[in-house]
Amino acid sequence: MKPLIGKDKDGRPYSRLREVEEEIKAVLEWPLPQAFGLAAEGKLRPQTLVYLLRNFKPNRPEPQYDSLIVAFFSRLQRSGEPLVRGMSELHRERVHEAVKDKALRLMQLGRLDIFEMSFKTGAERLYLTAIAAVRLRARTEISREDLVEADSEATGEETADALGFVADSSMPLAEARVELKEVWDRLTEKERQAVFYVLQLDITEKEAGAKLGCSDRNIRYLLKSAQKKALAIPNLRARRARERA
Amino acid sequence: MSDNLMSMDGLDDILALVHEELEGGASGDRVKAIAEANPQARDEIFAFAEAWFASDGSDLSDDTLGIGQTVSKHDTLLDRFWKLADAGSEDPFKNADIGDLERIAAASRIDTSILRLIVRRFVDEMTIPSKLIVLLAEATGAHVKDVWSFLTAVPTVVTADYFAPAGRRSGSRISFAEAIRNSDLTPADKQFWLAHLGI
Repeated sequence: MKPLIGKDKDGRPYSRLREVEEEIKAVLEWPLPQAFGLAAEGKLRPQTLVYLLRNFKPNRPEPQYDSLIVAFFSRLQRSGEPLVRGMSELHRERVHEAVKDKALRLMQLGRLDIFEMSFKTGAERLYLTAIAAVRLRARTEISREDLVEADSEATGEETADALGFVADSSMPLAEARVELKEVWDRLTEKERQAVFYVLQLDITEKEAGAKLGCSDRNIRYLLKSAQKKALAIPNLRARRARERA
Repeated sequence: MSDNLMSMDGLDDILALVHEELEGGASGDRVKAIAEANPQARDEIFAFAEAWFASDGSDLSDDTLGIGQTVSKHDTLLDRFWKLADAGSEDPFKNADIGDLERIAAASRIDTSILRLIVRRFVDEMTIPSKLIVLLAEATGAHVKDVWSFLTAVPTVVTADYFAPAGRRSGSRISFAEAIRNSDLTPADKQFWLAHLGI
């Protein structure tokens, strides 16, 4: 079996998991229609499906191969559903379509290596890329009516105090994400973006405003709102009280 | 954590780096450093990190089998796939002389008469065991995908067909099992291949 060509950030080639290689070897002992059938029904590992998809593309449309293509895109879309949850229907649709476009292009270029290493990682990467692209295109000015507490302002520092244990841009973002989980579910998309840019990336409120398509004053409103929601969480209040004590 | 903050050309490569760094425990400072090293992709890097931070990722692990609901607009998708598909591929048997064919056949546990039928695409490729495709790829030094692509191309039609009174014939193709049964392979080799076909 030929090794994968793609490389990780440290220059190490992507590799298939041992159990994936064993499954592929076993599958290659079977008649192809049987292998195609099981892969299309989702009875094989998704990485094996990708291996068959990449290595057994016929020179012309072929129903059994078509079923592999549909299986790949179905699994891909299902993998991405949790990532687009919370987006508007229009944006969800745009993300799904952008992912399909990109996956088709990667297939054409023979660059689906990452999916043979980990389908989940490949799917997440495509979806995150598409979500970022759709959000960048869609950013528009936030109206004051969409914001809360129009007569109050909060600085990044005050919100950081409310979310004190995560307001550290040298903290691993994965750790901060876990810490923030309790608060996160209660924030709007714009509040999350403001918290991420100002508190986690530590960029200025003005620059964050430019990214969200609003003023730095609006960013402060969003932070204030996030602060209020964070402090409304009993566990968080108790934790903050313990920290102060 | 590596220090590979060099400027990168392709956005895909940059975002792959950001993704790996985030999954590996990168901080906001690290993401900013990557953005500073790649100013042409600064907005995309931040937007990607923002999307990652706001998400718990997919709930579908690689150990979970299944496909889920059929993808939306799959007919359109298939049309687009085949329009984009590159029909051209290397002929793994190009320039192979009789000696090469004998060597490839022997390495693939078949004989030259079967190999000739396969190379001329007289054998229905869907009946060929995948094991043989792999052996042919190894024997020719080609990729499995190139061997398969070659075998699934339109069957070779002899020139005379163009002038036949009945017009061009598509030609009936035989199954691999039929080719094996009608061959001069040893009983052991015949059994080997028939077993791979579940016969």
